Amino acid sequence: MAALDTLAADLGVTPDRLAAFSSYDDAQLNQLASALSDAMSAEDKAFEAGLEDALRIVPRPLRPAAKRILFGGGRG
Amino acid sequence: MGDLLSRIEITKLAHELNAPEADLAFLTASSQAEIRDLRHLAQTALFARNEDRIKLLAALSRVLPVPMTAKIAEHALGPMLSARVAGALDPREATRLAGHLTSAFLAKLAPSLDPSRVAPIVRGLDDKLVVEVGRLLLRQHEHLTLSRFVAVVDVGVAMGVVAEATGADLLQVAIYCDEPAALDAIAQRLPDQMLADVIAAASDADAYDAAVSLLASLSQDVCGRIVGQIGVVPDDAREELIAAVAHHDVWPSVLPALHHVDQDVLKALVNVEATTDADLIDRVVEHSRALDLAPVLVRLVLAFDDEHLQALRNSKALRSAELQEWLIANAGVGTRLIVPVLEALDLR
Repeated sequence: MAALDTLAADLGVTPDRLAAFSSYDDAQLNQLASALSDAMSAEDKAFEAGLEDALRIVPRPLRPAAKRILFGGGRG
Repeated sequence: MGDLLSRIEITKLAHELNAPEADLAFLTASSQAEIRDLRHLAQTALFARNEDRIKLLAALSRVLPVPMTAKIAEHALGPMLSARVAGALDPREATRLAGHLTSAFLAKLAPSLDPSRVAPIVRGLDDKLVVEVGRLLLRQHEHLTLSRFVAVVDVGVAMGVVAEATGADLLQVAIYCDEPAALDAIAQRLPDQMLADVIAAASDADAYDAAVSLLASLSQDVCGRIVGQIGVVPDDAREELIAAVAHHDVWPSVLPALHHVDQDVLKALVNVEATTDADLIDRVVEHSRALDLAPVLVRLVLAFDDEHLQALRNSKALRSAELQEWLIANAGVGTRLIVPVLEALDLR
């Protein structure tokens, strides 16, 4: 039941929590895990781009402060 | 009903994951509750995944002028990210921000909002803006999104959106809606003509299972008013509707509603082929007994035409002495009417 474990890990729950779906085969569970993983990747990419783009809109004088808020002190 | 309800949940899960419904179609083997639980888990995981970034963006919005935050939302973050950030904002901040966003952008953002997180924000918005966004969603056929906000917005505001809706729109929103009580509050305020439009839309779309699922979720009063509009659909559609009621065995929702339906409407409804089936008749009799609806059972019998009265002769349930005693005692029309009818049908 590797597929169920993967799905559970992505959802942040134990495999027991997904017991209702244990009768599905690995191919079906992989399809479900893949849909979830694609949604997560899309959100991750959107956030990475969104943070950078947000900074570009902030007027130059405010940008250092905005950078500190969004990226901490580590970015120049 | 299970398959239909599971399919509706799959549509919602696919919407949450932005995935093709076909990829998740195999989940019809699971119950509605199981798929709903999975959807909530996915929703929580997606929100938690970028929670730190969401908080950072919310923090940035607090130090910038509101018009600039609005510009960032529309031009940098886009609708999906803005929806995520909205859930992390103080409702008052979010309401101020929403006032600087275009209704077109808010309509794009709405499908990604989690109504449970943003309910206080939506309630704080100007009613006109909410109606405007709702109408845009209607024009974009975002029925699923609208259904998620039925319980969040005030009934009066919802009616502002409903004013532009067709029967087909209302049927779709109702099918997806998870909040029967909120849906019922809106349905209570709909004119009969609009309820007739909903029935006609279900008939046009052959969506009888969906219509029956809807009837089962609404109050007796509304259910009765909807059933009362049944005259708008053609004979074959009434046949399908009764077949769906029988197939899903939702008589307990439908029977009480028949108490106040006009007798001519009742005749049109019950004199269909499906109701010549003795098993179906027995189910109706048993449900009527269980719900103590003797007057409704009498009304049904009196609405039957000759062919259907003949079919009643084959009812095992009506032959029961205990059932007949209950019917005579509770029908409200006395023994002088009931007994001769039972005797004429060779049931006594």
